[in-house]
Amino acid sequence: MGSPLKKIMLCSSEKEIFSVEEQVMVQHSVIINNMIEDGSYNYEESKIPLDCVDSKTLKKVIDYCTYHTHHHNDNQEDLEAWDAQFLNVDSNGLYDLLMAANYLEIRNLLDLIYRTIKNMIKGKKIDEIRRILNIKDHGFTPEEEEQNRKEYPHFY
Amino acid sequence: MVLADMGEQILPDDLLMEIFTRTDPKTAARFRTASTTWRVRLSSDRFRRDNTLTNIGKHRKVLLQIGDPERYGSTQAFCIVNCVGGGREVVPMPEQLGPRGWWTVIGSDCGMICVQYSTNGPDLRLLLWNPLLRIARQLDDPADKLLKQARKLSY
Repeated sequence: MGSPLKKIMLCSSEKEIFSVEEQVMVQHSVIINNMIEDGSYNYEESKIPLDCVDSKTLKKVIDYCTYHTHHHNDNQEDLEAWDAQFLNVDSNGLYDLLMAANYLEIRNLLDLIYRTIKNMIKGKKIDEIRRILNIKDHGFTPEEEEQNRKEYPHFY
Repeated sequence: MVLADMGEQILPDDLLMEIFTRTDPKTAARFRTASTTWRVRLSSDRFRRDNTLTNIGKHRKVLLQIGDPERYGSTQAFCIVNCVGGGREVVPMPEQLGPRGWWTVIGSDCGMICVQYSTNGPDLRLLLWNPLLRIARQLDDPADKLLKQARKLSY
């Protein structure tokens, strides 16, 4: 666990530098925690390059980690309301956040996004699920597709 | 705003797999017919195990057998009782049984029910039925071997 005042530098794909409390990132990101722990981060010189995370997404990720670090004692309802507001983004935004959370291994943010996508598809018909998740080529032959529709009519 | 779809984005398979592991078994089973890739991936033993583990305690439904002599020749029909809310819903019998077919339950395991049935007198058949997913499959049983095994299993 790093000291609360120490800062670390994160560098987005646009080479923009973000300075964040070390504790915030160490608590949330497995990968940054590992970097700090094994001593590969140099406080004087290092910037952690995040080439696949753009500035807009990185800022959101930092917002999430910061809020959850400082508000982890809030009641569950308030946190969920904040999370819902936080994920008020378009599909590209959600996708970018998911990729960033996956890359940085931020488990609670990943869980939040998984839950959101899970709720999009829960109980939906196959045609809707294909549309929601953008499955253009399902790979079934017309005969197999026909057979599936006959065998599981309530799925479609 | 509640996001309704992923727009033009295509989620990587390993992340989708994480999402499906977290979904209820019904949605996961349904997604097996979404594409050939997912038919294979969501049928693996590993997926079934992980999906079951993440859903433990979340879908507390119990299948009850109740008498309903008016609807079927047999004095059995099924309904699902939700242990949390107490709601009940009648489970439609597999259509293979027909409106006047005769049937009897041989045994059940992990939510699957093995049914012996007949629609025309002595011609006995076996059906594997998952009432939650409403899927029933007739088992080929030319030599009555399966039927004998199934009987042994149940006693």
